[in-house]
Amino acid sequence: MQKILTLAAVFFVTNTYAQIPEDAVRYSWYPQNGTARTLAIGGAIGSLGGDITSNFINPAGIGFYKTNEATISGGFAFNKAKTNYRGNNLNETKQQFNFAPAGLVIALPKRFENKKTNAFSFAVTQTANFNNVIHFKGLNNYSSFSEQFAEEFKKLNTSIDNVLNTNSIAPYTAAPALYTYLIDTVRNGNNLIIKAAPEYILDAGQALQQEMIKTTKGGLYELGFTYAGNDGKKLLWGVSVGIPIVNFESNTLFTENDTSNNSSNHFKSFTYTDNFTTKGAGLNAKLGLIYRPKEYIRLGLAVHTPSYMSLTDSRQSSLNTELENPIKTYNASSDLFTEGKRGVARYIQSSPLRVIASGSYVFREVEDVTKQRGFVSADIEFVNHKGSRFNSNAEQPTVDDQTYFKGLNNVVKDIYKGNINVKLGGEIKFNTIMGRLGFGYYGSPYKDAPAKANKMTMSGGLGYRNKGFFVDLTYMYLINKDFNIPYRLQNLQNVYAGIKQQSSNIIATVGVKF
Amino acid sequence: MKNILLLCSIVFFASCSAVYKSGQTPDDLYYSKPKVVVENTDKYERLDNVYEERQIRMAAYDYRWRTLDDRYDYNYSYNPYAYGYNYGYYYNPYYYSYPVYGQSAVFVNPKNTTIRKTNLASYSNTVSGYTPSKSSNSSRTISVRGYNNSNNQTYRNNTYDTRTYNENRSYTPSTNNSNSGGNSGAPASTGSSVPRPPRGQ
Repeated sequence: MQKILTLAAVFFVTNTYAQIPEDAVRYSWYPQNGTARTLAIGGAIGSLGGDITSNFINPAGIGFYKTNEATISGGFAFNKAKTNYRGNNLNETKQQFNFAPAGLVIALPKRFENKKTNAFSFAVTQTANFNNVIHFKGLNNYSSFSEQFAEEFKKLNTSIDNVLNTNSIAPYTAAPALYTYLIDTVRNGNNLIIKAAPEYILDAGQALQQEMIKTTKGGLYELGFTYAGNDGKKLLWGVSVGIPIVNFESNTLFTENDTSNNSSNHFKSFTYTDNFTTKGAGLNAKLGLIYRPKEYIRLGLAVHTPSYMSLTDSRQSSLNTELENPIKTYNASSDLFTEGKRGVARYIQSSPLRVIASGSYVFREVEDVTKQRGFVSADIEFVNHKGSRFNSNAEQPTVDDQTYFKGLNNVVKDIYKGNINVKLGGEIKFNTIMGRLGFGYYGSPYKDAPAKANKMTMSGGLGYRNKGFFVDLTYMYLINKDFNIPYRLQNLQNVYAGIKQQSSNIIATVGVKF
Repeated sequence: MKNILLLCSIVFFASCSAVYKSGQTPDDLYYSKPKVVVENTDKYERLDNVYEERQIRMAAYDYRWRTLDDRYDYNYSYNPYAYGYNYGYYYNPYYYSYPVYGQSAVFVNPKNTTIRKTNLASYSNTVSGYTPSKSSNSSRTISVRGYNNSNNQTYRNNTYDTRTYNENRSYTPSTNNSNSGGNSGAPASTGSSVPRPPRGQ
């Protein structure tokens, strides 16, 4: 029994640090998702309300509901991505289904005063879509992907035997690299130095052919529970509790090849694969107000608290190295260094705070739908991307854990910034048929970027509402400009790929009033 | 399963829409009329009577609700699968004094938890090591590393001279295996050795 308890204690008290700064913006920088009506007006629903998307933007908007509603949405996207890596262009296409909000709104009128009403809503949505492929290739005579393994091994400041171990301290990177001799110690004068095999090619002034294919899947989902109301006059309020659910998978394939015809220059090629998944759930809250200073005018303010998420990462990598002098191939899987199983790490991550200010002008807020004419609306959103934080989930984190997470959070503060997102849109209504247009711009979250980084949406749509049903159809064109740094080296400049993604999205919403 | 869900959705949507099949369909975004509430005018109805009637109906429907009735000081319910010292337990052929699943088994499944740690110093020139000082803002002035996106220049050769292999990549493993991180030596691994395949000569 004592033996079992001791083993269990070892299992539960193991180290848990395992994150990188790029994970921070994954859960904070994404275009607005919503119903077809919301997306058609650029996502500018903050002060308008009366749409189930209000659950996830400004919960006070649910306070406009005085009738019950059930709705479901979905869409399809045709994605085209163009990358530029060291002067070489590459195109990639991908199609995918998108999941948009679905849920219920139940209007709860007060028993003795009909003017004041309350409403409850439950909805689920995909906040961010991670389905993507980034593919680039090009010649590089400046640095090698493998040098990060050499730097890591140097930084560990430990022996080769200590890394090549069934419970290794660098099981996915330095250990496979050492095992397959992609990095090794070599004599340099009187010193023994750590060198990566592709460096022989670079030292000779020749270039490496590099190629990366990174495929990501999954999404950030959220369940929202909202209670909202109004005073029957000018003020609406709403409180929402959200349960974000993370389901992310990343598969990276990176290859490097010797481009020379020389078969005795130490290195021929390597192929590195890295698979990791992140799963978990968390909790957040959204508070919102909408004020109507006079008829037809609506002003909104919403605050989204950070999402506190308990996440679990699972990882596996493999490396195939072909060397010369003599020609020989070596293979290694990270399973060799992780007791034959995928590695698992648990941690806490919080997403940044959001503040949304919004305003709209509604032409004719009257009950008779034949007299309702339309609206124009605008949202401006501030997202403090540098506010993402990582923490250990251990009750008593080790000094190493604390030091790493402190350094990681400082890097997040240093390389990211708060950004501004702007959303504009409008609708024209003709009795049962509606026409809409919208625009959205999402600024860069990076303090320093080698290429443009922003997202832009342009959208238009139609709606039909009659006999207790409503159907909305939207076309949205998304342009996403970003960059990818495939590896970072401490003593060399970063190489990067510029990315421009264009996506044609068709979104449909059907709903019923009851 | 998908077909069943689809069918349920169609039935649900069809039944719900009946309310606004005739007349206008409200649009809450603009304005809609609150629902009319029919108040119960019998304000003197005793709530405890309602409660009692409900309790009787529930007890008639399912024997387990009878146990909620605290007006009786004995438990007349009979459940042959119940564990513990209930009245009449010694007549129960299934009686066993301990819950069958009471003693939870402890499963041990040790895993390697070292994943996706990165060299944070590679993100900027000034954030070096793992311990940037939070208090000294001046030492954390942002100076993010530059970018290289061309094969036409000879940055590498220039950089090579300055970075000097001997200092930066020398293999001098620390004998100190304390668990202090940074550059003072990684902690000793607890697993067994994985020998490298022989390297061709």
